[in-house]
Amino acid sequence: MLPATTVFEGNDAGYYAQAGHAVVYSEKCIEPMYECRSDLDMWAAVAIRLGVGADFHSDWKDVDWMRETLKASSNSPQMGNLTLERLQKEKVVFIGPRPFIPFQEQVKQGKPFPTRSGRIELYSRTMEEKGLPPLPTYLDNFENPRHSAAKKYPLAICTPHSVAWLHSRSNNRWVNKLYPTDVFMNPTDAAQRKIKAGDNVRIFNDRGAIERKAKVSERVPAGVIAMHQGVWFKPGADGVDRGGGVNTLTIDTIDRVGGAATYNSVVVEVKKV
Amino acid sequence: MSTTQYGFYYDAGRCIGCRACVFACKDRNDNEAGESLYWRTVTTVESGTIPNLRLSNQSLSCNHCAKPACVAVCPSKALSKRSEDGIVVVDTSKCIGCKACGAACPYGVPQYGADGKMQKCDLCLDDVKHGHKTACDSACTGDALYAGPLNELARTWAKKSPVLLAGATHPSLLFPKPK
Repeated sequence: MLPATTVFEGNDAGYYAQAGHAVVYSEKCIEPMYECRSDLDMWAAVAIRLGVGADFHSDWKDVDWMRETLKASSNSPQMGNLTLERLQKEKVVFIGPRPFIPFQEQVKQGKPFPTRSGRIELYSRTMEEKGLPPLPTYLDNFENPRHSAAKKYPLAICTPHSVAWLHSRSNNRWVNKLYPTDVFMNPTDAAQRKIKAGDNVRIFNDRGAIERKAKVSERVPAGVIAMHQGVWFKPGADGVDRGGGVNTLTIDTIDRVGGAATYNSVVVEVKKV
Repeated sequence: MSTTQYGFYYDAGRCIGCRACVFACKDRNDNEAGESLYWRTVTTVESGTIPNLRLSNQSLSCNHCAKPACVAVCPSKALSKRSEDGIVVVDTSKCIGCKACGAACPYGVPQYGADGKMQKCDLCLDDVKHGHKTACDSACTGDALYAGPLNELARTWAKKSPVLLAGATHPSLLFPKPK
């Protein structure tokens, strides 16, 4: 692990489109601290070692890259004549019309919209051709309490983010002790399964099984259990995870409309161990 | 009776139960994670049901009481209350590990290490002596926990009309007056 610099220790620029299109100069505030090196520095060093230092312009500093990038985009009408020197002087340069109102050309000059028909499409022929509903429609495809899988696995699982760690990082042994990845279960569901707070339970479906302690709480409604995400998978010899890695239970299939992950549509059962 | 009593101001209404205070204290005081010793603990209590669900947090270390039950009961005079700042400290060279202090404290504050001796919050004496903040005060993410002289804390938080926690041992803990 090599220590890299922060945004404060080098120059860069950002492009923001939210409130009008602007290029913003991110000016260096301090010299790199301790022995930190910028990503650019590190990549340049790797390029030299690999013998492609010249192709990589390994002698260019961050401002040189910025100058050349702006020069290369100067033929684009929006970027106009924005130079590094102007950006360094003005710090924030708005490009394009202000206020920025989308689709002015379409409304005022009758130019076509960037769609197949040139019009705003409420009915999507692209979706229709894919065999999908052309109008916004709820598709009840994946595991949920109404799905046939729910007969065997009646509990929906949700996987909130813990306040105490970030995905798979920072969950050290101190944090893990105070924030154990116990299963949050509603008292009704727990009582039905003769589960009491602190009992060892197995959470399972056709894809796998996890064993952790039960935390009986009103924080989840009946029919739902919750386990915090990000924890490392720790399978025993029996293949059962005892770390609390909730991805043991989730689906890998992606949604066919947008290609999104479907790990929030998962049903499970919980039994006392 | 000390001239300046040090203690805590704690606003449970602002506390989000993040436990930064717990970790900061454990880190500063070098309490090995292997031992389940926490000089500061946070307890979260649930009440009610959805949609009227409440989570209440309570962060607690030592209350450095004006009339400390631990000091009164210690048979070896290991426990004492400093006259200059009212901080209750344990002299481990005199502690015999009898655990009488643990039984006497109304708040369950005394902890016992692998050496059998008592250990607890000392209000980060080393830091406080040099004008710095306690570990827990520095770490608090919610503007909920502050340490220092009680009269100063009361002045800083005057808009919250702080009151002292009631108790037979007169804990040095201020909290906003409930509405």
